[in-house]
Parts: sequence; structure tokens; C-alpha cells
Amino acid sequence: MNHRARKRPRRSPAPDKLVFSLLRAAGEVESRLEAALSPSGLSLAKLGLLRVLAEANEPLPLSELAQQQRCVRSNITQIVDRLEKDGLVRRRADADDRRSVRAGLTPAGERAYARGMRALAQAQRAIKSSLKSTDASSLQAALETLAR
Amino acid sequence: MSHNRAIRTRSRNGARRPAADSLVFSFLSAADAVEARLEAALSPTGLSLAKLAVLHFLADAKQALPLSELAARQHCVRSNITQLVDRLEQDGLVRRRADLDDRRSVLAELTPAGRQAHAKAVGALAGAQRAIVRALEAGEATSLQNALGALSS
Repeated sequence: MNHRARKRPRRSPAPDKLVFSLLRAAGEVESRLEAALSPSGLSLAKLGLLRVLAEANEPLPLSELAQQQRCVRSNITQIVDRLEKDGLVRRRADADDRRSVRAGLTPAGERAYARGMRALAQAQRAIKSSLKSTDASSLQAALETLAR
Repeated sequence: MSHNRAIRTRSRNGARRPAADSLVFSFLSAADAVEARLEAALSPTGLSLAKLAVLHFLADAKQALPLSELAARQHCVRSNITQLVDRLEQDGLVRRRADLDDRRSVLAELTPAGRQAHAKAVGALAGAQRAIVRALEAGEATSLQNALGALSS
């Protein structure tokens, strides 16, 4: 084994290289998570929405879903359309506000949510295990600094 | 260039992800924040990362390129590239012209203003990248670099 080559570089890496490696690696991680979800017919966007509904424990107005997911209304409408076609979500009129529509999980949606979260957890464990030789606390600190 | 691919493979739907409470999702959030800062640094130049990537390919190629090749390099669908090139053409940074060798194909090339915009944006991007990396302590930068190496292998 070439000992010298395994030594950590003394100087910081070139900023452009580090920043774009970060974006590229994030793209790859996201693809791996999407790939883990795809056999269950879900995506990160769909699972994110199922999660909001599962945690709310009641049907939510689409406007609130859009707000919680930080995305535009038309986007949410599309995702809900697809989830409804898959039988995971059902729209219904809002009894309190007739101009508003609520979306709620179906029983199949609840099962899909649980299955999706399990697949996601497994994919995350696989990704984390490739990081086990990295100092976790200083990596976490780096990520927090970057996210600020 | 590799960083163009990095730009294009990031999803930009902005939707909240299903779990925000793990190292993996902290990683994605950090990348989102970094990307947002790069976009913010570019915005005074009137460019986005997506637009800059197109200018970058054209500047790199030093010649006009078919739209189909730009689409392939950007890993995006043809209609996306058409829209991007439309906007760049409106801004006067890119010009379309007929391909003399293949009459069904259309080429895109940088205008002199496009070359200037590219240089200015590359400078703005480099400044933002330096600021991002400077905020990290030495140990943090090393851990991040190791993690990125492990993730890409």
C-alpha cells in the first residue's frame, strides 16, 4: 500500500473542486434514494407528501400541503394527481370551506408510506456505511456550517 | 466538464424531503444551501447555474455546437435545452445558426456578449465557492472531502 498517497492533504482542497464534488455527490445520493424508492412506485417527492399526511393524521388542504412542502401549488396538484391515480391519496371537499379541497391518505397510502420509509431507511444505512471511516462529528459540523 | 454534470443532476424541485433528521438528509440540505448560494451569487449577472452550464460548454468547445449535443452533455431533455437556449438568445448571449453539414440540425454559439457574461459569471462563482469553503474549519473541510471521496467511489 502506498502510504504517502493515503496521507491527508495538508492544504485545503481547491474551492471549486470541493463545492462541485459536493453537488455531484448530493446528486448521486439523491439518485440512490430515488432508486431505492422506485420499486415501491414512489419518489422522494411523493413520499415527502405521504409523510406530511401521515404525520398530520387527518386530511389537509392542498394549500397547506404546498406550504409545508415549500413548493408551488401547481406542483402539489400534480403530485396529488399521481398519488390519487395510484390509489394512495383521496381528495375530498372541505366541509368547512367549500372552495378548498383536502387530501387524505387511503389505507393503501398508509401501507405505501410505511414501505417507502423502510426502503429509505435501508438506503440511508447503506450510504452511511460507506462513510464509516469519516469522522462523523466533524462531517456533521461541516454540513451544518454549509447549511447556514 | 464535470461540474456541469453536477449542476444538471441535482433535482431542483425544492420539495421538502421525507426525512430531515439523518446524516444523509443533512448532506442533501447542505448541498441545497450551497446550490442556493451559488445561484444567488450568479443572479446579479443575470445567469443561473443552468444557463452558465450552457455557456460553459460553448466556451469550452470554442465552436458552435448542435442543440442535440448540448442536451446530451447537460443530461437533459431536448425541450429543456431549447428553452434555455431561447432565453440565452433573448439575452443576446447565444446565437442560433443553421448547420451547413446537416440541414436538419441547428447550432448554438456564443456571442461576444455571451463570452463576456461567461467570464464574469465564472468570476462570481469562484468568489462564492471560496467564501463557502472559507467558512469551514480545516478539520471540517478534511472530513467533508473524505466523505465526498467515499461517496463517489
